[in-house]
Amino acid sequence: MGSIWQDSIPLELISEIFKYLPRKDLYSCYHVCERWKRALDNAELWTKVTIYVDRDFVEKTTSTLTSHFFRHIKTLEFGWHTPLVHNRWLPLRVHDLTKKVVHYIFCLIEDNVQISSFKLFDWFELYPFRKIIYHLARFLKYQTKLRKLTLHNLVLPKSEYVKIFESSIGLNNCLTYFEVHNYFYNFDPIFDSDMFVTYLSRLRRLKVLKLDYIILSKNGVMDVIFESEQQEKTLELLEVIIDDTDIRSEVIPSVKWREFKKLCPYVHLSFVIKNICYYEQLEFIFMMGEIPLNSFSLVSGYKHNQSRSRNLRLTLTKMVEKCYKTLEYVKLDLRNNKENLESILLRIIYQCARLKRLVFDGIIHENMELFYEICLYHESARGLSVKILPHKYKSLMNIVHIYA
Amino acid sequence: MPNIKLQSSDGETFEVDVEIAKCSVTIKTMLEDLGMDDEEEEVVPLPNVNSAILRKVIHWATYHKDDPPPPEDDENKEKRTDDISSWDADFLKVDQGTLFELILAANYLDIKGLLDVTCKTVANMIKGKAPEEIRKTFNIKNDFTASEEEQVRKENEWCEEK
Repeated sequence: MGSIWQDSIPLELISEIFKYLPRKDLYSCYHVCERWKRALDNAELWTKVTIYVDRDFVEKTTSTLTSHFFRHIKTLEFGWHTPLVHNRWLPLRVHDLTKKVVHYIFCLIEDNVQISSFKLFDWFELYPFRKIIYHLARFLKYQTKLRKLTLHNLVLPKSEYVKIFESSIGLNNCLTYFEVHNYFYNFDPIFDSDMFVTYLSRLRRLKVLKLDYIILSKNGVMDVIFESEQQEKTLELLEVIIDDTDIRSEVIPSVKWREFKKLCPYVHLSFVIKNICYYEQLEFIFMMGEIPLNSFSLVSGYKHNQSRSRNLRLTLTKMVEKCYKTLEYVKLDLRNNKENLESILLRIIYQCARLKRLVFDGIIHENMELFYEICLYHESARGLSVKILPHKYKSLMNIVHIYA
Repeated sequence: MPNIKLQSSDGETFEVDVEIAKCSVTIKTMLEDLGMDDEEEEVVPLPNVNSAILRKVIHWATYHKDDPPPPEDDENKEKRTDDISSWDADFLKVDQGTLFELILAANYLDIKGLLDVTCKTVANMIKGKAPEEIRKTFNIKNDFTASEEEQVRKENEWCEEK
């Protein structure tokens, strides 16, 4: 008598279960039986593969298993699980680890794996691992369909950046998406160099550009955007990431924003503001002239206390005050905020005439019928979509009691 | 609230609140396509689900009727299996046969929440086990040929020395 899990279960349902398993367990599943092995050969399980240099090469599972399914990979992410700080303990000797990783990259190149998206993350340079970057760059050079390049949280010497930039342009230069974002600053001088500006100017098909504010404020970066926009007109979205490490950023002169408005009328300008509550932290924005901002989102993972919440209210009000004329999209992800913000939501709805969508994730009153009615009215009157995400503290009541 | 009748494969009918039945996308589209919402006492046949399983599915759907819609799949998040609510965990303390039938039913009826939680439960049964242990847990026969076994063994050796 065979097992239901072997004979009668449809392959796609086995794969559905596999979606919840880490690679280590998938490796075991691969050796259970023919049918499970076949179920693993499902593109959905392998379209995105994330490799943690310090975690995935201690055992054989990652290298062997993923190599069976190389052909499904479309997105490859390479980085560190625990970013390597000086002299941190490693499970393997540096030399052995590098050897294994490089061998893996060799396999990728040998099998001619063609990906559309590449991400390098949490990579703090330590000399011996340069070799890995070198080979990753080689891998990138062979890509003919690379569309997306994301660099998250890297601290690399200039020479390594150059390698990645050069090879990402590759054979076809078809990058349409480029993102650089660091959580801390340790500002890499590379972004304040001609080299970076030149690299940007070579990306001729860019549709989406996501940069830290601090990079955008550097010399020449905005000019490059203007220049390529005049020639190619491909850029659709410029997303500027601002977080609490950007406080000492330079102010971008008003003339630049005016130029932006004139030269890039079709570019959607968006600010992503992370982990900021106090409006002083955004002072540099309020000091700038008119910004043709189309959307902003405010994400805050902090535990909010009363002072943070009060200040957040002020920050939000100022943001709306500053950009209400052009705002089309506002997203507030304020799960930890403890104050009721419906008055601000209403203000956004009423004041921003061009607003198309408002998303709010945070606590709300239990009794919001009037609010929903207003939203419904605006939806029918001007097509505004308001989305209030369900929240675990469905009501504010408890907290209100504490304050009272 | 209007009710609707669901008929299991073995002929038993269940009367369910329409809103609860609609958490099944399959039933929802069936109702919309066939315009079954009118007053007529219509019975929706579910030939792929037996009464025991249908009873469990309805039980689950009734408990979860007020749940917010499941969040859109976030690609960037690693899928977790440790977030099964205690009610669901209790609900799924069933034999493997029932669990299996529930997965099939959730898939057929297209109830995402139930499919997720049942698949997670099975995934948890797999986690941390060696192939032989997995076979034992699920009563699976090792059907690899000797030469395939050999190949696997070699592959592993090759990795060890690497």
